[in-house]
Formats: sequence, C-alpha cells, structure tokens
Amino acid sequence: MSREPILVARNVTKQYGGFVALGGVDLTLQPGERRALIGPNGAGKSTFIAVLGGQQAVGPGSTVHFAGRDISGALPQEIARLGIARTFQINRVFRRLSVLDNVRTALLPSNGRVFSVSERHLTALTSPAMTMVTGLGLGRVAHDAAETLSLGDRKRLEFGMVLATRPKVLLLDEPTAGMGLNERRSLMELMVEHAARDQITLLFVEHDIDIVFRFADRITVMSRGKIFAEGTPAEIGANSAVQDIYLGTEGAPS
Amino acid sequence: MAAQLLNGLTEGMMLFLIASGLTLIFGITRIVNFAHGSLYMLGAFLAYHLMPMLGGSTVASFASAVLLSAILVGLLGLVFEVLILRRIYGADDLLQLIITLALVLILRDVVKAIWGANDISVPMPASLSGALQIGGTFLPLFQIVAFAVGLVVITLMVSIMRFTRAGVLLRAATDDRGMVALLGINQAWIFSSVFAVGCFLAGLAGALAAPFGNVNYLLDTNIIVMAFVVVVIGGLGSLSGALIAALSVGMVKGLGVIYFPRLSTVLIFLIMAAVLVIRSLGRGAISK
Amino acid sequence: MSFEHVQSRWLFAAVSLGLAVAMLMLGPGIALLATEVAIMALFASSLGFLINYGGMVSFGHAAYFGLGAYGFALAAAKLGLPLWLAVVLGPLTAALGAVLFGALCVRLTHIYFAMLTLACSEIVFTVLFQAYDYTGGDNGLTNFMAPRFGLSPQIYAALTVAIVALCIAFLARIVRSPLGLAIQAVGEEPHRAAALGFSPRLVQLVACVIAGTLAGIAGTMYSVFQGNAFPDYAGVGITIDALVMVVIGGVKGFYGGVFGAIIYVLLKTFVSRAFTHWELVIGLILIAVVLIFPTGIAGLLQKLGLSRTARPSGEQHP
Repeated sequence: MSREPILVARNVTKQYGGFVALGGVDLTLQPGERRALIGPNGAGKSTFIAVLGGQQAVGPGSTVHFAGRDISGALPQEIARLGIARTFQINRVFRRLSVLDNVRTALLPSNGRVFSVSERHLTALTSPAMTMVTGLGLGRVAHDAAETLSLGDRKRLEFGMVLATRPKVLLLDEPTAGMGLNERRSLMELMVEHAARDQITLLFVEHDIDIVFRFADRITVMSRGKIFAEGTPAEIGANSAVQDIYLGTEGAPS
Repeated sequence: MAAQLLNGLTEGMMLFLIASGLTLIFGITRIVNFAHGSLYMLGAFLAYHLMPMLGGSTVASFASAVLLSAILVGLLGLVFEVLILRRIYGADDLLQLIITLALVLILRDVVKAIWGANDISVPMPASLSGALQIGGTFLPLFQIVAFAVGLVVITLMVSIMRFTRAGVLLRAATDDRGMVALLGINQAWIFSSVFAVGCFLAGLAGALAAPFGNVNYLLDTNIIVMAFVVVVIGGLGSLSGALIAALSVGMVKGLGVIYFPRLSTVLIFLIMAAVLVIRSLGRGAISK
Repeated sequence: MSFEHVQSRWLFAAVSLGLAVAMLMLGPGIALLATEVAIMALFASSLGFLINYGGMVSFGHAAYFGLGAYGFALAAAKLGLPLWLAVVLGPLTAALGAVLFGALCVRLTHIYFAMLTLACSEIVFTVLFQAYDYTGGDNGLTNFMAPRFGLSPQIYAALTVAIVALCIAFLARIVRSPLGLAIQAVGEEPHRAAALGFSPRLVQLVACVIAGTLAGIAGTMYSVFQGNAFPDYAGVGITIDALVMVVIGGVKGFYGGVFGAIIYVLLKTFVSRAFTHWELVIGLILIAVVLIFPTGIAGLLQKLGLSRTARPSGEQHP
C-alpha cells in the first residue's frame, strides 16, 4: 500500500440549512481497490458520493484531491472528464435513445465530438459501442429504446455508459438496489470484472451485506454524517459496534 | 403625484387579484394556467353584460354584477377542471400548458361571438365616479373603492390561509409537494376548489377593473403576461410575494408613465429577467 | 451508411424539389398560402426541435422571428443597405439575440426557463413597440420595398419552399449527428449527461442558437413576403401559434412542426371562410389532441406506418 492514493477526501462537510449531512468525512482510496461504503439510512453515503461527483458543492474547509489534483468545487462535467464516473441511485439512462445510442452518446465527450455535426463521426463510434453493448449482454436489445428495458438491463446499460468514459474511479450508488438476489450477484460480478480488467478503482454504496463482504477489499462504515469505522471485511465483521449501529442500539462516539 | 401613486397602487391591487389566483393554482396543482388572462377578460365582459340587467349604474348593481361575474367565471373554471384538467395532472408539462392554451383560443372566440371584436366600456357606478378631496389633491373615488375591495379580499385570504384547517393544509401542500399526498381522498376535491377559487379571483379582478379602461378580446394575452411577471417576481406559489410584486409592478407602471414613459414596460420585464437570473445564481442549479 | 438512409435522403430531396416546382404551377392565391405554410413550418419546426430534442419549452420563440424580420427590415428601410445584405443580416440578428438570451435562459429549467424566454421576447416586443423613431412603433415598417422583392407569388413560393427544405434538411442532419445526440441527452437527463462529461448549459445554448437562427430565417422570409415588419411579429401571439402547431403536428416527431403548420394555416384560412370562429375549432382540436392523441399527427401517421421519426442511429431498424 505504498503507492500514491488516487482519491483523498479530507474533512468533507455538507449542511442543508441547519441539518449536518456530512460532519467532516475523511476517505482515502488506493488505486485499484474495491471499497464498499455502508451505513444505516441517512448516514450521508449518497451525499458523500454526490460531493465526490460534483453534484453537491462541498462545505467550507473541505478538500478533495484526485490523482494529486484539487477537485473540490469542480463542476460534475469537469470531474467526469478527469476520470471520476458515477452511477445514480435512481437509474438514469437516456430513455428515448436506443441502447446503442446511449453508449455512443457516452463515448462523445472523451472522443471530443460533442459539437460535431458530421454523421461520420457518429458512425465511427458504432463498432466500439456495439462491442461494449455486446459485452454487457445487451446485444439482443441494442436497437431498442432504453425505456423498454428491464431495470436490470437499464442498470447494465448505465454501467456501460460510465465505463465508456474510461474512468479511473467509479462511484456506484446502490448499484444493485431493487433487484432480485441472483440478478444482484451477476450484475456485481460483471461490474467487478470490468473494473478489474480496466484497472478501475471502485467505491460502492451497498445495503446488501452479503454483496459487500463478497466483493469489497475494504469497507468504510458511515453513521450520522461521519466515518464510524474502516477496515478489511474481516475486521468490520468482527466489530460489534458496527453491528450495533445497524441494530439501532448505537452510541456513536463523536 | 398622490394621484399617480394611487393609480399605481390600484393597478397593483388589480394585478394582485389576478396573480393571486394564478399562483394559488400553481402552488397546489403545478398547472401554469395560460387561460388566466382570458378568465379575467371574460369577467370584464360578463360585468358589462350583467350590469344593465341588474339595474344600471348604481353601486348595488355594479357590486352584484362584479360578484356574479366572478362566481360565473369560477364555475366555468370548476367545469373545466372537472371535465378536462383532471385527466392530465402528472402528464407532460407541455400537454398541461397546451390544454390551458386551448381554453385561451376557445374563450377568445366565444367572447368575439357574443360581444363582438370592438372595444366596449363598462360604466362606473354613478355615485362612485366623483373624486375625493384629500389635502389639495383630488383622488378618484372609484380607485379608492377598488383598492379597498382588494384589501378586503386579501384580509379574507389571509384569514382563510391562517386560521382554517383547509388553509393550513393548502399552505403545507404548496411548500412541500410530499404533503399533497396527505390531502388524502380529498385531493381531487381540493384541486377542483383551488382551481375554481383561482378562476373566481381572475373573474373578480376583470369585472372590478373593467371600468378603468377599454375592454376587448385582446386583453387576454396582455393580462396573462403581466400576471406571469408578478407571479415570477413574487416567487411561484407565494401569495405574499405576489402581493409585494404586484404593488411594485403597479407603482413602476404608475410612476414610470410620468418619469420614463418609454422605458416603464421594458423596465418591468428587465426586473423579471433579473429576478430569474439572480435566483439561478449559485451552483447546483444546472437542471431540475 | 445504410441503403435505407440514403434512400430517405433522396426521397426528401425529391419531394422538396417536386414541391418547389409545383409552386410554379399554382394560382397566385394558393401560392401565397403555400408560402405562409412553408414559413410557419420552418418556424414551428425550429421550436419543435428545441422542445422535442432539447427538452426546452420556450414561451418566447417569437423573439427570434421578430428579430429576423426587424434585422432585415431595419437594414433595408433605415440603413438603406442592399437587399441581399439585409437578407443576411436578418437571421444574423436573430442568432445574436439567441446567443444573448440563450446564455441567460439555459441557467434555468422547466417553467422558469419558459418564463425567462417570455420575458426576453416581451423585451424585444416592447423595444420594437416603443422605439418609435427607429421602428415606427405600432405602425411598423412599411412601404420600403415591394413585397417578395417584386417576385411573382409563384416564384417566391418556390424559393421559400426550397429554402425551408434546406433548413429542415439541416435540422435533420443535426439530429443525426453527435451534436444531436448530445442535445437529446442533455434535454432528457442533464445530470446524467453532465456526469458523462457534457457541459449541459453549453449544449443547450448551442441548441437555442440553432433554433433561434432558423426562427430568424423564417422571420426574415416572412418580412420579405409581406414587405413589412410589425412589433407583433415578436409578440406572444406568434409564440402561441407555433406552440399550437407543434402540438397538433406531434411534439415527439421530427416533422411535427411541418404537419402542424399545414393543418393550422389551412384551418385558419378555410375554416374562417366558412365559419368565423376558427380559433374555437383549433381550441377543440387541441383538447382532442391532448386527451386522445398526445403524439399528434406525426404520431398518428407513424402508427399507420406512413412516416418515421428522424432518429439518430442511421443503421437502426424501423
């Protein structure tokens, strides 16, 4: 673990009116690691992801460094172009576009073709996009509008879209929420496999403890806007205080 | 000067009556009622039609014509809500807008068919057409009365919103969309009555303000644009905001006519644009 | 590029050319009517593009129609510039207006976007109305040129149809390009698009400028057609006309604006001859469209297999 960390968040705060959503969160990600972010509802996990993705502005005194570069206060599109991609808790794909076009669209920014009016530039993206679509197991619905897909397929598609941006860090906000048991595991396997292949660092919010322990290298536990514990799955599994906050008998240290 | 001030205040009060209905409807149903100006226009034409039938230009006949016009417009709103609008809550924004635009077109043609395309004028009640001497200035009595009627409506609205259970529910539902669900089984009924009351207010303003100027079928778009200005400056859904905005816009129009006649209208739209842009400043407002 | 795609392009070109030639054989009255239809088809298509692909419902699209008309008319009537230059300046004025207003408006979304576009167009309208010394105010600019440059109604109709067809072909090209995908992506899911690396406001601004410029071309052509310019060209009424056309024609179809303009202008012309209350008829049609066929005429034709919406992927199955 002597390598330079890829993402370093220090003292991240966030307030909505009087409500403290994040009360000084520190988190360091090493390149290539698979980190799970867990904690009870309202712990601030999604807010933290939104801060890292630039969807939420950080509070004063907070810093986020990505590959040595200060990205606190950067816009979502700037963060995305630097190499931090994310999926959303509520699945967001371009519903009226075909599956293939969703991926072709995702390929545009990194190819510098956003403002091109040449159809050739679009056709040039067809074959890489098709490879991606097939690799996700969506080949048979490639030309269907995304809105006709099942939730599981839409989640695969959204994952493929963020992969298309060639990210170095991938933030997954509850990637398996709302899916059946078997589907959860196969989706997670697909994601982890792709991430390993492309050497992508993963930070994923997850409620399914089984998934967390199966796929994470390290686990960070949040509670009430703060980091409550951090460690390997074995360490977290042995930590009785962590079990307490899930059971609601929490006496969170401050 | 005092006369211009009263002019501005009265115009502002009439604007508030229209805008309050628009903002009330938006706050609860999230419908942007493009037909609100048409309902105002209809109120004016109804008053014109009803006054002679109710005894000519006495105060009593004017008052009853105004009230009856407002009630008729409110009823029309109710019918429109129940028959048509109710089917498209939750549909695309554009479809909701278009339905109210359809009402604009229909009402315009209906008004033209019944009352013709020429200007009409509604007489002031004879005993209110004089002026009141205060200090050295004469202030038109009718304006004072119209302003006072506006104050009465405001008082009624405030009392309902503050002190009745329905009012408390409405305020809660305007502030927090999640609360709409708590309106429970009464939701449909509440939406209908809010829409009807909003239309009633538009009709009331149209009838009450009719004697101030010429009335014709082109009034609908002029009025709706000004009502949008007031509602936007005051903040969509906010009654108190609409009051402040309406009086300010009225004053800018009233006083602008003397000091910068050519700029006053542009100024109002510039204020509207500025308010919108300033509200959008600050981050996280990319979208939705 | 697939065979089918090439075929549809040739089909479009053939139909447009056929229509333009057909204009030359019409009677003058019908040619004038066809010109109005063509101009409104372009104007409504530009608004439909903004709504359907960009996800932006504008209440102020008439601003660009008015700027296109006055940019031309002022250059011709007050600056005394040659007509060919004035014709170029019209759409350019609209484009500049779209850059300025667009930059402000894309900061907002939904009803707030609509309200700001309304404020912008009312500012244009009021300035045209009040700047009496330059614009003639309510009386407009008139008698500075022969309507249609003095061309016969038939020739001007053919010219208009050709220009409108070129503009619509340009729009179709945009829709099928990377930019078109970007505009749709931002229009549908701005947060998702931003998190993929798109700058939502910049993409929306580009869409506004495209739509504004095309609306400006329509405005200039209308001013040349009539040989005049009035403040009403930038008024709410024209925006409402275009919104109505887009909805009747079909919001979700590429040709919605074209179908809508044909139906609207024809209804206005022929219903008003037989029965004075054409607006009533349009209003009832609108209610029927919204409640029964929310996809409009384009959707109806699509269902019957008579038309396809222009969708980006060229190699897509129908």
